[in-house]
Amino acid sequence: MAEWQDPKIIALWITVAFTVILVLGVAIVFFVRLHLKRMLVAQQKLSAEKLMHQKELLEYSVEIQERERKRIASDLHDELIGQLNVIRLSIVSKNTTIDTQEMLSGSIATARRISHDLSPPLLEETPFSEWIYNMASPLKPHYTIRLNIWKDPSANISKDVKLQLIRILQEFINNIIKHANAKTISFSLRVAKSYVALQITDDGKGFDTRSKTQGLGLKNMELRMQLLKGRYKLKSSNDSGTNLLILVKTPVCMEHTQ
Amino acid sequence: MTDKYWLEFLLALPAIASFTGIAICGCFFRRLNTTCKYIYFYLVISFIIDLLSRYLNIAYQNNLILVPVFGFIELLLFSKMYHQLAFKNNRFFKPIIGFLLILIVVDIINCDASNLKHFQSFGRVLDGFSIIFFSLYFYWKMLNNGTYENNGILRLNAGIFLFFLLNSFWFLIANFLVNTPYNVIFIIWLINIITTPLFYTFLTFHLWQNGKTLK
Repeated sequence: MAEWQDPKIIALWITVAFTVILVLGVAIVFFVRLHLKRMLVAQQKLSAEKLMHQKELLEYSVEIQERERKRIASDLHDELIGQLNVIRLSIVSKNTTIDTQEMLSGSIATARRISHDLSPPLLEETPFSEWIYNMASPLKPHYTIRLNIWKDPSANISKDVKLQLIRILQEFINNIIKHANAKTISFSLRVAKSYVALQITDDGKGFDTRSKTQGLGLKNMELRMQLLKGRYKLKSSNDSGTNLLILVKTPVCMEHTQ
Repeated sequence: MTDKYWLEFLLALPAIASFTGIAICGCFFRRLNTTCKYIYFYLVISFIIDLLSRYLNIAYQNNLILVPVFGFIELLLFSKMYHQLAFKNNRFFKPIIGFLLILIVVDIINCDASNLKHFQSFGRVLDGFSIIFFSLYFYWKMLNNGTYENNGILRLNAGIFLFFLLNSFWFLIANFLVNTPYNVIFIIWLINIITTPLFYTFLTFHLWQNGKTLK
């Protein structure tokens, strides 16, 4: 009988093999559990961060709302009420040097502007491309404007999506005027059956997008994108301009229309 | 107490463990979820097979045919259970299990159960390795999907994995060591006879944990 056929040797090797298998099995179970627990902790951390971010956005939305109310109040107080007071005084004092008719027309125009600011007129009827054109036109004397619009004839953007996109566009244009110091602004719009893609680019001084001290405008834009269930990408760095790409899927548009 | 008494006691342990599980968990069988119901059926089948093997041993002094038969039923129950847990959307699962079951049936038909020296428990090894694969796939799926099942299911899967790892090892070794002196096989058999009631107790604990929670 060969040495390895000795029952004691066989028993020894069986014990060794058994122990190795057991240790391997326990190790697999242990490492899988450990990994899963770490994964769970990471998921919980991520959920907590998301919740925190949502809370922050909610706080910002309240702040934005207050800021907007203040702006409307100041528009009404400084412009409309001021003009109406002058008209009232001219009527009371029977002052003929003031053209009441003209003053009234001015007041009506101011009221109309405030009203249009609050809710853009003919939102449903006006194509979004025209909105972009209307917003870009006043900028022409100061900037080089590039417009690139492509639209599938059968595609349509719902009223609510249009409104949110207009607000984002207004916010972005305001930021360019206020901070960018840009020379050229490019607008690209692509309206397809299943999505709407909007890209706005400037060649201004840019900013650090990773900076935690982002303005209310960017937070506002993020809130609106969440509302649209869309996606956006903001690319910018110091001295290299800013590029905003927005993508909204059409089913969302349909949902809003319904 | 003699060695024979201890041997009889050890032999009775799996039956005692499975019967205890059946008795305890039978009280809240209706409250068990589908996975647990399969485990309960597994305990019932184990107990029946244990009794049947005792009967065959007394009547014919040979109960080896029950080894692949139990393997067949075991694979059937565990594949049903893991189908619920991990393979629900896998279209290859059922054909593969069908093929494995056919292989075990072929093993049942062809095995020479009348001769201990020529008996090979391939069907049981196949069953064991399939269940090991199920439990590993379950882990893989969880890691891949990034989902975390509840602790009970994780514990159950770990228990099944470890038990069948040892169990398959025992049957694999038994296939190759049929000519080895009995004292060597006795050691491995002893490990198997201890781990089996421990596994049944573990399953009973899992069923009890599941059943005690009011739904």
